[in-house]
Amino acid sequence: MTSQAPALEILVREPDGFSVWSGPPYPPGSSPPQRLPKTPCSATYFSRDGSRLLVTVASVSATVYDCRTLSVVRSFDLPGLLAAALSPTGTFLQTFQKSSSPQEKNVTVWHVDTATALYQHYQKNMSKATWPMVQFSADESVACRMMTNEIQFFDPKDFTKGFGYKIRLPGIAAMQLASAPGSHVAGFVPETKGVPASVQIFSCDKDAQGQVVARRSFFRCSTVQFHWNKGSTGLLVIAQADVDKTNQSYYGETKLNYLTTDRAFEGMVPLKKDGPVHDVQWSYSGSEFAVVYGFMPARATIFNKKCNPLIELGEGPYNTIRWNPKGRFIVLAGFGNLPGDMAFWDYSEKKLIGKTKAECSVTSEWAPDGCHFMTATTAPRLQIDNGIKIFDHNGSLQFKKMFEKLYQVDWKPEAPERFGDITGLTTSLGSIKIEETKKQAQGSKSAQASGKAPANIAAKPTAYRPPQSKNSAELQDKLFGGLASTGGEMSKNALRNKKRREKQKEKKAADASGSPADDS
Amino acid sequence: MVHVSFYRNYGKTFKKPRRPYEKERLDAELKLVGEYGLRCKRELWRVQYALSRIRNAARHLLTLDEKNPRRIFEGEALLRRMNRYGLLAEGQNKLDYVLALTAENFLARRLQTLVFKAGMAKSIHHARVLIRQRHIRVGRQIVNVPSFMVRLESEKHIDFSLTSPFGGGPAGRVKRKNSKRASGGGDGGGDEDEE
Repeated sequence: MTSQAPALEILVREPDGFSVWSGPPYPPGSSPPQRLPKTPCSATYFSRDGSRLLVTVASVSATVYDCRTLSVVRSFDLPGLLAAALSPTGTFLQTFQKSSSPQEKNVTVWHVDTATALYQHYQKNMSKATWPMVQFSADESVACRMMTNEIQFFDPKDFTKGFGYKIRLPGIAAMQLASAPGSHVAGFVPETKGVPASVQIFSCDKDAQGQVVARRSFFRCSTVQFHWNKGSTGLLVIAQADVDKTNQSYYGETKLNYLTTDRAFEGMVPLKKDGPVHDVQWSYSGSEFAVVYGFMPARATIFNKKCNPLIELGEGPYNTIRWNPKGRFIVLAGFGNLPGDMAFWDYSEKKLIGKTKAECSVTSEWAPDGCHFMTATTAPRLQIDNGIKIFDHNGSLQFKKMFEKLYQVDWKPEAPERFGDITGLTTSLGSIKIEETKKQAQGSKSAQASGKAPANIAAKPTAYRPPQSKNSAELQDKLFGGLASTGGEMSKNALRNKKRREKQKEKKAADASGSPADDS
Repeated sequence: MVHVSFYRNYGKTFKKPRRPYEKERLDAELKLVGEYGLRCKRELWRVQYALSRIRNAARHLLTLDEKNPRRIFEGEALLRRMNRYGLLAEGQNKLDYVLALTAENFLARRLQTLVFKAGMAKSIHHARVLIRQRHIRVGRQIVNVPSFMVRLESEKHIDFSLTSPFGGGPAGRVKRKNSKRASGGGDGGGDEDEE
């Protein structure tokens, strides 16, 4: 890592308050240094770029901290506060307060630095799906919100003007703005009698004036989830239905559709196994996405932007995908109702690097520098065994801390570009690359450990050698040694089996030549 | 003497079953007809006849010697066709797998089933109606035929056609008439928003 790389920080929230620790690596045996002592709160959120932190105390107040200095930027006293959200760079704060009369405007957009209320509006109740009310793009150049039958766009530089222009979409139920950059917005119209549900993409330009860029219609859908990629060129849509008309699953069915803004592809993603789509994630570069799908054991595949399958990652008890922010690694994990297996893959080398278990984890996230992977067991979901575990990028446990009760753990978000490449693994992979093909022959134990090896495209998994093994020269000797002696140094059992096989082959050849029997 | 211009080749495409009232066969056929939304038993017998001809060909090829040029050439061609229509998976590239095919493999490759499986229709019967009413296209071609065998690479290009109201085109005849009546018929056709 370069010297300019920012330090990692972890936010930990417990029943009596939250605290911020500085991030790994931790010297062994010590507890992580605290940057901010415990402060009581009921909810905490980082802004998406990690520069500001919002701390709310339910029904009382909201406070915005600056993350670098951890000092209070502004504090708002909001009686009856129900929900609050910070914009991606932390410039705006939206709050929802309980209101008793229509005269009182209870949804407010504040400007954080000056603490002025920019836009206020009355809304009777809110649902989790429609909060936050105003969606911002990552650089806050575009802001829009969904109202009945239309999408309204604001000018973020001047909220007081109200909405500037709008896109009319009758019956719209859900919307998502592409955030990086904010050039397109996707809207979902649910199914009415006879008319299929549809997902439509519009351009956010004022001049485009409601022209549909891409659309896709389907029946049998009650809700959708949108996943925009970085660069806003592709949209993945998971269409979920509560009732499975094909009668295969009690829980309903899910379908994965893919739409591109240049109309190069509009259709379903071809998945080779029946069953629900458990997870789909775009990579941080935005040019490929990974899908975990099918009835358990689920299959995992990585597709590129044109929806062609790149790599099959095999089958296993997985329902979660986490891409590494630096791009080379991907974790397949089975959390929730699965036992917690985690498989660490090197996506560019198409190799399985490590496999480990993290039982009863609720959340999991890569660190912004890509070197650490943290899983946590948190309270409302699981009341016992709360704790944090931090793994490094090839799956070995680095740090573990248990708590009495833990509500939330988060990395402080940072742009992955600010960190250097993960150098440790590249050099060791280079040294054992030559031995790769030969290792496959002898690594029978490792092949068993890696379970069902992935089909044709991926290389066969090889035995895992830790990168910092001090005797890597000795290791190469061992590998070479193993090679040269496959002829002579086999174990007694192996020799016996070999002899037996040869004898059988001779017998078969004799039989075949004796009588023209068919084989195959 | 046969008049040359009226002569056309034709052949049967289905075979009636030998025993007409066999309980198990009737039950099994009815189940398939219901599951895949077929119009009559003949559609099922047509698929079974096609399957039986393919199996005969594969069986005959398997009796030939392994290096026989005829076996190699025709075997490869047969396997390529099976792969192309998605009847055999990628790893099953041998003649023995052709012998293990069933009528359900074929029925699952019909356009009607694939439209239903893709979520573009509410039920298998709705899929047949949509196809017949020219709402579905494969690639750029509107396909009107429910028993169209979809190739493996065409499968992701099944979509609503561009002229269909479901796929972004103008509203159909009935809707236009209703909206005209609703708008009082003053100015020609109340212009409804596309849905």
